[in-house]
Amino acid sequence: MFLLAASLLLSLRDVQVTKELTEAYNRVRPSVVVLTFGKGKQAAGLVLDGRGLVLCHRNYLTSGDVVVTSSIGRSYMADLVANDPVSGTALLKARNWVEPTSSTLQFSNVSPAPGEAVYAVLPGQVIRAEFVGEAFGLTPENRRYIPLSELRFEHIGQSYGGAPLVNRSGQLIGFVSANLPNENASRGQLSKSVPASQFGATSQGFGPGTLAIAYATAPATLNRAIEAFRKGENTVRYPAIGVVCKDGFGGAEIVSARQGFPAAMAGLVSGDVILEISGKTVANQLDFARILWNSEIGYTHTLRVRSGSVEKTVSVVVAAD
Amino acid sequence: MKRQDEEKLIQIAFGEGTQGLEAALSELKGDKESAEFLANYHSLSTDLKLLRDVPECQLSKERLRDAILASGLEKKTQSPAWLQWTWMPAVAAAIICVGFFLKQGGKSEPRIQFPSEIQASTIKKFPEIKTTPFVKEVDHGSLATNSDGPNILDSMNSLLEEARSQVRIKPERVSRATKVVHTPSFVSKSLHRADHSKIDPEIAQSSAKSLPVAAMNAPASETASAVSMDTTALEARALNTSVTPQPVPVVLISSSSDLESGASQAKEISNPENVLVGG
Repeated sequence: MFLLAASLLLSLRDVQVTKELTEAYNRVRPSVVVLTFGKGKQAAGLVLDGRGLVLCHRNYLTSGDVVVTSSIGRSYMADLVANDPVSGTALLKARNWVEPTSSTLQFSNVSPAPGEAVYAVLPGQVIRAEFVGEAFGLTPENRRYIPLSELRFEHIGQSYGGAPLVNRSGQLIGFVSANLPNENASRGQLSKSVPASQFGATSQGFGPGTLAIAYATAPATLNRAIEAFRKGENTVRYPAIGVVCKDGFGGAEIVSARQGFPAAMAGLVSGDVILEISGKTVANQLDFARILWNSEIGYTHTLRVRSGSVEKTVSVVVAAD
Repeated sequence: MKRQDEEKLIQIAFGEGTQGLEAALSELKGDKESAEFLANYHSLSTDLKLLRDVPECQLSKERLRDAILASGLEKKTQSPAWLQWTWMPAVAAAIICVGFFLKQGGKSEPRIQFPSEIQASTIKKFPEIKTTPFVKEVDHGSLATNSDGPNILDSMNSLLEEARSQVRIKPERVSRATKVVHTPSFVSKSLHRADHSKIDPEIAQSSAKSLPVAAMNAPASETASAVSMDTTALEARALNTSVTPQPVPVVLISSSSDLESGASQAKEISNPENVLVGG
């Protein structure tokens, strides 16, 4: 009887999961396009607006031509318009784009609740993931802070890198940009990873297979890129004052100050510790990065800084980088 | 009629009494009930005498046993006990199969239809992708750090590259099994016994020793932690339920791609205090 009840519950859960996934996919489907790159590699992209602007992840970009195939089967040649290394997004422009306006992308600026189901859109397929929470991301090039969404994927072995990520309402909330490497990958055992049982119970009922941990561009990060692209700007600007910091144990200690940027111009040098930004306490370099990220370009911050044994207050105007 | 009289009449009816039947009946002319009783028993006695005698051999146990063995017992119409319970696992198995089928059906997902043949008549190359990394654009001569020593950012970059190469050389030391999120407190003990090895800080430290003094202040220790998948912080998260607010993990995104997923490789940093952040 127990088996019977368990089987019944399992079946009902799967039916519900499939229903939610299908509903989410049907909502985003009109804006999904398939991108075919030079050597036949395919990826999913999303139509940004009626001008034929297509948003995709920059990991896909290769030299050569790219063909955009819309949800109703029309194909267009496309050109690269913009490429933002921070958010990891790229913008393509389809030539002679003639598609219904209903294909325009819906975007959500709000992260899902922890444990909520999200869906990665692949060419011809949608896979389910679970939103775990936010993560503090650092870009490889310049160690810039970017908010990330941490995800769990059940389908280990799926090539979900760069896939658009949508919520239950079919709204774009990011692109799958990175994942923790599978330790078995180097041994040719791509299909083996950590058993789901080791992750404990999940609200989505994943398992009993394996799970992968991945990170996606957070809505807050993606929002900056989309806003810039919609305005016709090909370069996304992010706030900066031109410093590299480490933990100053009670503040953010400047390791280097970039010449010509606001911090250096305000007289800040290596060794100075930023204690406060516009009244907000800076406990460490992570706090500094978060406060700066949420700053508007052009805004004047008042910094309380400890320089040696002396505390001072300086004003810096947030620049764009 | 008394019990004693009944027994006497029965004896008369079966011919065991001292008195004959006719004599007894004549005596009972006035007692109609007793006469009827006697007549019934006499009739019963007569009928019994008419029954055939049963051969003695037919009364033996052996004959009865042989008869049973020859003809067998009457078969029960009810199915055996073990058969009564077989339907349950059978039904359970059938439901599991249906559940599995539905699950597979869910994973197959709706598929996007697109033309089987895509016409690409013209080929246009992408314009060269230009990125402007913050570190690379730094004016080396104008850093506000020790101007006598080599550039701190260059040192940091080379150090990070060196650390990345360490990761590539020994990928098996990065324990994937330690990445546990919102795990309940009953997390398996095997997790605790999981490989706690990390990229040896000594490796990073020894690498750092070859770097200029300017880089020794922070990047060396940072590198040691940045390239490692330390289990301590992750286990701390694993052993706490989701009720307790957890610190946000610091994730360093690598420029190299993961073979399996096609996404960039990520590394969780266990000691955020040593992380360098640009901005």
